[in-house]
Amino acid sequence: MTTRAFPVPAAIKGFRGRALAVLALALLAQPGTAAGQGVPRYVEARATGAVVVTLTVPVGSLSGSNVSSGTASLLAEALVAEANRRLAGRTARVEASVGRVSTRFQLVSSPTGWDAAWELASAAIFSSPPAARFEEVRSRAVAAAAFSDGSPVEEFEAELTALLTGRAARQARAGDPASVSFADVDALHRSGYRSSRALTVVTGPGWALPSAGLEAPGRAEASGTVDSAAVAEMGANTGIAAVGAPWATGRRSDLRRNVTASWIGLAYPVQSDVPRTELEFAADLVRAELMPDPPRPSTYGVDVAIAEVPDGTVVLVRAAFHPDRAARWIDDALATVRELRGAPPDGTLFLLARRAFRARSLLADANGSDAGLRISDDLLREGRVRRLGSEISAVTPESLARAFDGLGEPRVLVFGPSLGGW
Amino acid sequence: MRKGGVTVGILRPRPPSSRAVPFLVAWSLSIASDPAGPVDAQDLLPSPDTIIRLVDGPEIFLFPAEATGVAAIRVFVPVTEHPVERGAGAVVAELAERRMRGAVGSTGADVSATRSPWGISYSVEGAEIDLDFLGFLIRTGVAAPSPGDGNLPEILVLSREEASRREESPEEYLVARLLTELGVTTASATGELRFAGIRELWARTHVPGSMAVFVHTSAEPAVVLAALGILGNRDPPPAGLDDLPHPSIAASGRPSTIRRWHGSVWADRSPADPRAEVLVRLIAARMNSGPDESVMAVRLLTLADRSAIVVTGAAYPRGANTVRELLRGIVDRVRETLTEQEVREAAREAALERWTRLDRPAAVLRAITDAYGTTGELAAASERLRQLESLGLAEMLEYVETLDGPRYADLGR
Repeated sequence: MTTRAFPVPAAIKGFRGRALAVLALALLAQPGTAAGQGVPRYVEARATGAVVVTLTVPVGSLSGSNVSSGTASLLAEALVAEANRRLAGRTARVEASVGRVSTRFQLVSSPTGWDAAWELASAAIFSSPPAARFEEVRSRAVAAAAFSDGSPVEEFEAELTALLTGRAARQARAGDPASVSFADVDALHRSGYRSSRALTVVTGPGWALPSAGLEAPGRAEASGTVDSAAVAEMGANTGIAAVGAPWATGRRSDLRRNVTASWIGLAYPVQSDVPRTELEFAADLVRAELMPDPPRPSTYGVDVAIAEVPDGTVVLVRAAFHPDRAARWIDDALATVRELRGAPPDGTLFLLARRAFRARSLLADANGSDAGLRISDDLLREGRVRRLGSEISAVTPESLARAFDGLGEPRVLVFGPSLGGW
Repeated sequence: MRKGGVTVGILRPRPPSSRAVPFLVAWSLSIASDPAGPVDAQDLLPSPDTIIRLVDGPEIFLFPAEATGVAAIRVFVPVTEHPVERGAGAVVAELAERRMRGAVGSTGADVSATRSPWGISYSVEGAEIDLDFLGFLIRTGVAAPSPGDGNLPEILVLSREEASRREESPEEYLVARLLTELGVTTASATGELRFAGIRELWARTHVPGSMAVFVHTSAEPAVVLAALGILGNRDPPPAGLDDLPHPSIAASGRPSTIRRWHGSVWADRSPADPRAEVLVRLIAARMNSGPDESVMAVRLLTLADRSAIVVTGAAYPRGANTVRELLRGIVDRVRETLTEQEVREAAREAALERWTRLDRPAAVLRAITDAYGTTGELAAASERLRQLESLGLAEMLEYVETLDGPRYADLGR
């Protein structure tokens, strides 16, 4: 195996620059990394039935000037429709999810013939969507918008996005799909969907993957076709390798609405130098505290996740409660995180918590689809793929405490009726 | 990771009182088979690279693991109930799952115990580094039920409530009637079940020699054996209940209905025939033309020795005859209108759904175990997927021609 030198854009410096440089190097040097139609590809086996191909492109709902107009979603849906039309008769299907900073396509396929299926699907994704497909998905989106327009959930999500990004809520709200033209999606496709700025991760049963070709002659030469500088630029565009934290000071936003539930968003900014494994462990502990089993009375739903925003990473808590419970829950949740930051578990409690976190992480990562997303994030963020088992085993009470120290002041959004006394 | 081809070993079990770690003795035989070799049709799903046959113990199949740090164990126990015990197997499984969930603790492992027409399957999946504890969890599941665990009275009450719910549902009533037409009794005996009977079913069926153990791990066989320990009932099993007379089952009352309900059933010859799930899709695609305010549904029931395709529907009197005729003739309609392309698309959809469900090692083991329980063949799950991927019109038409049925049942004015 050989590696090649590659240029690093001068504009990319500091931690982000190092991370992206490592990424680009890793994409060239990692076993299993190769190029298919110019797209860097990383291959890793899983003991699953199907093969999953995960493609990440740096186009999200908050990308560039397409802020929440719905253009990115309509484009992705049109491409998925076209890809699945081309896959008719094959044991394979494509789905997509549009995030704030990137779009993920996932092909799930029978392990026999997955590469031919992906060739068809990727050709559809990297071609401009046919106008007919766009009209189909826009019609469906217009019909769906008629039901969701003005819903409290949609307004809460728009306000939450505004809180996370500093943009105005009206900008963050999903646009009217009827106002999006084919020219809009075509322009976005031309600017953002370049194979040299995408990343592909393949997971599935080892016998079906080109693992036997990892050290085969010609593999490194194929890697040489990767436009590594563009891949580094892609990492920069996604914001996953951002420097610092998304914000320095917290704030609260209390929006009174005459609705029957209270929606709550708590977002903790994360310093970019917090190691990912420790951050996931910290979020797991927050989740365990805020999502007890069985759930507390009057709880409609609680979710804790690590989310990427254009300026970095946040630990995001979303909750929905009966209004009578909401004020007290906010106080409890803020106190819970404060206590974890002040006194994270140590001794036997730490060992037990780490053991449970390790099992949950490994089980999630054994799923080919989840693993594809995780590996993509790892490569874009750090230029390497973490070995979860050993990295989690290496977490110490001290490194966990440093991760909690890396959480900044939260931004809080409370959406619903008056909470009385809060 | 274990090296080499398939290894078959015979293990002499330790006495029940011994605390010593089991050890591999006698002899081992290496069979030329390289797991990394060329892929044929049987390799769509993993094959075991080590098989251990214990003297008077379970057969243990070790499947090669990718280096993901996850291990999975699944134990299959064949269970046949006498009519007086009907429903007891499900209670044994429910008690076991509650015991296992209570013992998971900080391991974060996923556990389950499920009843199928052929037996009970116990499953654990977790971090491979916790393999010893995963072995403890599986022993906990396979262990004898005791009066104090799992809240047996609550389970029996829930089971009876479920039986009552089914009797009150027009659709479920029709399904039970249709299965009776096929000679299959669905009536549960949970109303008569007592702990002693449940314990006796466990003791009779959970005999180590009848179990099959499937393990996904990269650990060496000796480590796996040490983690598993002794499973099930090591005492002499009680005699079977063959001499007991079958209980008379009181016919349940007919539920009151507003609409007229109709049902039809067809049966095939094997629960492992993949064409049944394709036929269900093809039937569903032809159920969109009923009269106004009518409902129709199709379901696939897996029985011990075959599959049953059941269609049910309801309509107000003015549309009832239309629904009845549509349901009675729906398989004929499939046969008359079927195309090669439609069969291929439905078969690919069914295959993709199966592939998508195989999303973790425990799910892969489940597919292999379920097919093994049905056929006794380790490669049956792979074969089923292979058949789905290559299914065409001729094979589908042949299947439809050989179906047993239809048989009918009706309910309502």
